[in-house]
Amino acid sequence: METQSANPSPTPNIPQDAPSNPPQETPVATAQNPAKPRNQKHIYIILALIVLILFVAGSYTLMMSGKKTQTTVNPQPTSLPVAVYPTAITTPAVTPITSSNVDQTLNNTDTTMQQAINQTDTDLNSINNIDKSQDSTNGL
Amino acid sequence: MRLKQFIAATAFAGTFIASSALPVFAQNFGNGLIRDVNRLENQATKTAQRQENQLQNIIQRADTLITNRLTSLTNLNNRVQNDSKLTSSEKSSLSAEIQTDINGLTTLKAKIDADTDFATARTDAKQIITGYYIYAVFEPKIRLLIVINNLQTVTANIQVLVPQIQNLINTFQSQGKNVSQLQSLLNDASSQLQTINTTLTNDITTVQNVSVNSGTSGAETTFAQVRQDIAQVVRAGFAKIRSDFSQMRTLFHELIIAGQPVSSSSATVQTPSVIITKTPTSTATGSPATITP
Repeated sequence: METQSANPSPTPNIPQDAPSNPPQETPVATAQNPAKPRNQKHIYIILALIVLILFVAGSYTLMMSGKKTQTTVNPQPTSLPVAVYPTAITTPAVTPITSSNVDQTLNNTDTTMQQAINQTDTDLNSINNIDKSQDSTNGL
Repeated sequence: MRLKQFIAATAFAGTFIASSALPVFAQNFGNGLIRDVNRLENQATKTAQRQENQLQNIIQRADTLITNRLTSLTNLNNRVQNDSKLTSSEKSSLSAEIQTDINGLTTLKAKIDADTDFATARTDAKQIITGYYIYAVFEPKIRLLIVINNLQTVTANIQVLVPQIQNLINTFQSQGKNVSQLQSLLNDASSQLQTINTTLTNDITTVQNVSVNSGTSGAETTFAQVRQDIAQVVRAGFAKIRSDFSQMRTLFHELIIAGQPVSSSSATVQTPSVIITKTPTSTATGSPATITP
């Protein structure tokens, strides 16, 4: 009997220990709360994933924009500084002249001729202003 | 015996006198020689220095002449490239001519800078003027070519309109309208354009044939003739064409405002409003009187 009382079975020990330990509720707490940490873990994982995705997307965008700027910047030093000028139009694209646009067309033509004359005056004046005496060999 | 003694004594005395005077003479003679040598050396040094100065002066002056010309040529090239009416081929041709002179002057500058002889440097410096005549021949030539090419482009653009206007006149005529005045004006404008174009084509060839070898007087004669063509043929022709077009606008306006449609349906509906709204501006801008040939 003494041996039985001295060596109680492990199962009865638990109830014996349970009352002695007030944190007996802690297992209950741990049994009830696991939902919160798990949710929090999920939230953290989701947030981490979002941050990761944003980071990857941002870095990808930066990479692409960097490539674009490289492609636009690099050719400049390699290419000669050739100025691109608007190519002159030899023959204008003339839409058929009708009664609805004949006045406008003739008006524009008149303006064009006036501008051509003005430009001619400017250019001829610039020729007049050339100091031809600079081509004298006197003194050399 | 006495004679012998006398001769011996005289010889001795003469030798004595000569031996005593000779060093003095030699010294005087040597000093004169040194002076002369020094003087000649100094003259040579001064001459060399003067020639060196002249060489540097001519090099400096030549550099200035070339720099001024390179600046003028660069400005001229910019004028060509920035022109809105010149064709690409015209720009290329004119720029190539300019670039040839730029390269030639740059090479000449390097040669002059390396010259060690005044006479050579002077000859090379003259070449800056006579080899290029940048101001008397080249720049006026290029600028005249710009003018003529631009006028020819404008003329060609207006010539494209002639058959278009002719079609419209034909349309009015097919509708029984009296287009005799319009036709006469268009014929005159077309004739003026043809004359202008022929004149400009010939002038381009004439100006292109001007070179440094033409000399300044020959070039001036050619340029004066071309400028006369521009004033008497082109400007006067443009003035006449503007006058023709101005009268044609009035005639077209009268025909359209008569309310008789030229073409079918929608286009004719818009016609009166367009013409009416444009009439005030057309009278204001279409003033050929501003041209002074």
